[in-house]
Amino acid sequence: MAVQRGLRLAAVVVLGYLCTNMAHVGFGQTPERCLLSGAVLNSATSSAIAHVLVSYNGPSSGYRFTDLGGAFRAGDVPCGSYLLSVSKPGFVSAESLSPQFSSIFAPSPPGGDEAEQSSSPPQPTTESVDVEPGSPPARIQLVPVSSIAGTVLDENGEPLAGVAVQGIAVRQSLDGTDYAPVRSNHTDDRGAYAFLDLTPGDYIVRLAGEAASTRYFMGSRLYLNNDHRGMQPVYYPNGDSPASAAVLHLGPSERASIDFRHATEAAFDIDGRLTGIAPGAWTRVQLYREGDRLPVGAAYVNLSSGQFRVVDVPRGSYTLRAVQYVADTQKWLAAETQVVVVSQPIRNLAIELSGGADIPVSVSYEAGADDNGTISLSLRPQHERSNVRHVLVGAPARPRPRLKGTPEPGSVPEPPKAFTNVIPDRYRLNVQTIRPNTASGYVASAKLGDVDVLHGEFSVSGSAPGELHLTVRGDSANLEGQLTFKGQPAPRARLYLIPTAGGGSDVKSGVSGADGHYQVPNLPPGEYRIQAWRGSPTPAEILAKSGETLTLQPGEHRMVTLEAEPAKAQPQEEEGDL
Amino acid sequence: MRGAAGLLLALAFGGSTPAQCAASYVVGGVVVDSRSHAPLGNMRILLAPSSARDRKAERVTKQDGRFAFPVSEPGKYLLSITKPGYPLQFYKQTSLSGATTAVVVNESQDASHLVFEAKRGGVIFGVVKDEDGEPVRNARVTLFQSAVLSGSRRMIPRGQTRSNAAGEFRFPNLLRGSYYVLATGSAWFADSISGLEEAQQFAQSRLEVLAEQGREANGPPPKFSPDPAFRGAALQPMYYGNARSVEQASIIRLETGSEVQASIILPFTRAVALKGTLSVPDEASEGRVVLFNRVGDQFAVFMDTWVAKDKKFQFVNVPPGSYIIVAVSSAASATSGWGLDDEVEVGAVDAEVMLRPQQTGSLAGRVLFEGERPAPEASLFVTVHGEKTDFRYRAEVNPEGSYSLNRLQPDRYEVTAGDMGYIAAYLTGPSGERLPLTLSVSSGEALHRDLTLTRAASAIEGTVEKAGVPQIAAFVLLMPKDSSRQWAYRIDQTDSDGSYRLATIPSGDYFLIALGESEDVAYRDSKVATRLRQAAQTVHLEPGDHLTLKLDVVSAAALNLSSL
Repeated sequence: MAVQRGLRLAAVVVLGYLCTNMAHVGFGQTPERCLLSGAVLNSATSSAIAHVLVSYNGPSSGYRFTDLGGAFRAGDVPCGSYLLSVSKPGFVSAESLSPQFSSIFAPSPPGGDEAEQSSSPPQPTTESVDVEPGSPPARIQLVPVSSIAGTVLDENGEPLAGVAVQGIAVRQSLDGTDYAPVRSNHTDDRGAYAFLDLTPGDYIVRLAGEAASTRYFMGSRLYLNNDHRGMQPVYYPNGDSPASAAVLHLGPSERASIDFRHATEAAFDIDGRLTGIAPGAWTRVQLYREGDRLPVGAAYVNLSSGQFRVVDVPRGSYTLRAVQYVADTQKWLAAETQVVVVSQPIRNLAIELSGGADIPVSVSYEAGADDNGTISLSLRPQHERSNVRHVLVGAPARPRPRLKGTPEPGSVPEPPKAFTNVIPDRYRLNVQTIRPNTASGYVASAKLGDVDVLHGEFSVSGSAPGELHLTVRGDSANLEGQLTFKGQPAPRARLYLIPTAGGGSDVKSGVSGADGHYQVPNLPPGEYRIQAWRGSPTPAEILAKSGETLTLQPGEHRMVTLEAEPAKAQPQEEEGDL
Repeated sequence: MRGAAGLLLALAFGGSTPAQCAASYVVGGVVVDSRSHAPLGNMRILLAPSSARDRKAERVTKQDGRFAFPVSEPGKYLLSITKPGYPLQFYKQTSLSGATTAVVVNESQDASHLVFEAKRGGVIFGVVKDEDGEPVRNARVTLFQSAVLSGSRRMIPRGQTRSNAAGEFRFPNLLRGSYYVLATGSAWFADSISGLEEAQQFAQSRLEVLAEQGREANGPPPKFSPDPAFRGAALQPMYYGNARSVEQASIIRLETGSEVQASIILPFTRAVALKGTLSVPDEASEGRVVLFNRVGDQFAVFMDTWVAKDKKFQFVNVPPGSYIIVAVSSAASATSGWGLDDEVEVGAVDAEVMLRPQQTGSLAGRVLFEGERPAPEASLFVTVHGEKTDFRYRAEVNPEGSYSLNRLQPDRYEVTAGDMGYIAAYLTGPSGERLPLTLSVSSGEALHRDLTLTRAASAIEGTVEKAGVPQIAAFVLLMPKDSSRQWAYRIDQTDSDGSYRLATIPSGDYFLIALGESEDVAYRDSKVATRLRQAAQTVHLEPGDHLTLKLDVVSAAALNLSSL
């Protein structure tokens, strides 16, 4: 880990070095000497922060720690432009609070599973400064983290030790609300848990009960001293799904105290055998309660015999998912099966893992669609979130200008036009037409068998679901016009087109140029709500505002002038085009 | 679910115990806190026959702390309890030895008015900080107990935990005793600083490449300036009591149910990188490499990393010190895997190590018998257990009376043998000297040791009394007169009727003593043994003897053993 991170940093620094050399060297002069200094402050209290790591990179490079007064100084550096990178545990950068523009359409899945405790180094805040003779010290603000802590008691008021509590970040995107588990903690002997270093934002808390990573065992018998008690998972205060949970709005340095008092009930073990497994491969067995998106269950698996046991499962209907990832062949194996726990253990469940199905992808073009476009498809699983698949369809990539010694065209095999090794899961399909450039066309439907999966979620089970067929139509609409603010042309203002059907998904957007003019081509015909914004609105702001309704006919070219509304978030200059 | 009360469960299990068919006895009573004597509600109680410990019945106490198990058959039963704050413990459990007091169920015993004095678990908690007062998150905190086990005082690992983002750690459910705490960690900025340094080296090497190609570099590389006050990116491992070694560390004396704070400050120290290669022929396997701190004769995990098929690994931000390095393949079986280890001394500069596979060793010899031989058809096995690798090897004694264990990883092994009323007594060296049952096998060594077994078919049983009253939970100890016969010690703890039983004893001369208020006694310590002998009675056992002896309890406090 450390090595990789170091190498990535290395690349950044070298780039910076080459660039700054171009800017500063070559005049044949000795650069003037300057003082690089500054102070790091807590954004919530304006007090100084000591022992902050400040590294600088520019005409020279190095690092300093702030003193007890929050100040740092590097004397006698060449004057010029520097990039400061500022980090300290317990603090995050101000940018991490507002959603990144690229993530407001669909939040990127969190990398891997939630951590018991975050151990990665603090994310730095970066800031560029121009160091001139006599320039004032830099002032950098860091945002203090928030926390959630509490205790879990049972129906008798006794502490519940060893039960899982999860902190789930609530992230709004135009694709809907996403719930990303970011922290998990098992209660201690006092029933206490704590999430101590949360980026300020919106959270919900789930008492998951018996939930742990899958543990492995050897031998043919598993001796456990579990007490056959369990609990129904609950979203604070007493919801059964993320949507029914109370959302905690945590500002910088705020601490929320969230206590649970929750009855335990009789619980039962589920045991059986996984067949068709890759012995020794990474394996996970989890239960998904009906209607809940997050798993429960503490499972033990023997990686050679496939024997497994899930312990202390309370009554309910579940989907049991068993997943393997074989690193050598980069192949997934999985199975899903329904289990209903009523009043006794479930024994000798036989679960056959399989490599899932292959889904070939084809495209047809209608209504004058240009078949020179390339369409990027990604299949995003909702359970195995790291298992995202990408396929490019449409016209083959144009041959690039060849360098000497590179193979003849045609000798490079085309990437397969199919999703392979698609294991049982719930999926969302993301479609982007990436090279229509001047051409026109939009994806009108994506049929998997008889079902249009272009919008919303769909299930893939173990059996072959058939072909995924895209229909691209050429009768798209175009929107063009002027964005204004207080009657004046508004440069770099944002425009959003939200389809009134489809629950807010598939939002289109555009940005005005320096003269306030905008153009959004290749729009599927239909009814939209249209909004214009100055600055960076949050997904919540976009979804909350109604906007004017507009119906675009097939092939229509519409001119619309719109007055932009200021977004609450600060206007951000650095963001480029979409 | 750990620690949850089990009311419904008790009902559900009630039907499956034989109790309801023909319950003629009751095991019952009240659970109270050992210090306050207040009844304890919501206590999970388990009862199992001592001969079939997995046939458990379970109850949960109400607020009055009372419990009752109907039992259909007379016999000996083991009673245990647990609840959050109270670690799993047996009735009258006083020691770590594993000896327990069984509840005797028969016509003459009243087992329905037991008072189970539950010992609340103690807690050692604290905060790990660096010398700037910043919490060290994700620090490894290791707990050791200095305790008497099998008659000798030794260091016993009691667990390792990780500190949270506030540097806090907590070890709950501890028994009364003496503890040491070791904390290790890495500075929060360690990865960032090594990233900056690597970037600097990368830029430098890039310039060198350009220069070699005869291309003009755009001037010298930017000057890199570390903080002049930088004290190092590694953290010095420290014991509680501001000590760098366990010898200098402070003992934490924990009483039943008490909570003791043991915060630790880790000073910054210079960090170096430790690179390594495994020299193993096998190309396909991967594994794990672990760096250990040595704590007395025990080890604490300090850092670990994965070693891929190229057999190279690296630890960064290692503070200078001496370590044990162990590499184990992920297919860790005695025959197909590899397990390499070495001691490394890390100084002030980056270091490289090559871990070489040690040649496996072997152990072979004749099996001899002290006294009577077993019937020729009896099958006997010799087993050795490696301390570091935890590998076990087992060989059957052949009809000619010899054994042979091959492909032993270099390690220190404990030798056991027996069954059929025989136990391993001692090994014999090349010149006929008697050797203890532990031996080290080094790389490529072919050891020849005869193993002498002794018949251990004698037994002593009886009751322990004080002025005619049976004593519950007294500690009964049988010590060989010849203390070099290390295999011949036997212990028991008296049951609820005051009875004890010592079995599989080799013939010979012994001291026998019953101690009251039995804490763990370091009976193999020569000073302790001398005092015990003075108060003990002597016993002579012939092969196959079954003696019944009534013992008078001796007060352990009166012997003043703790002063030694």
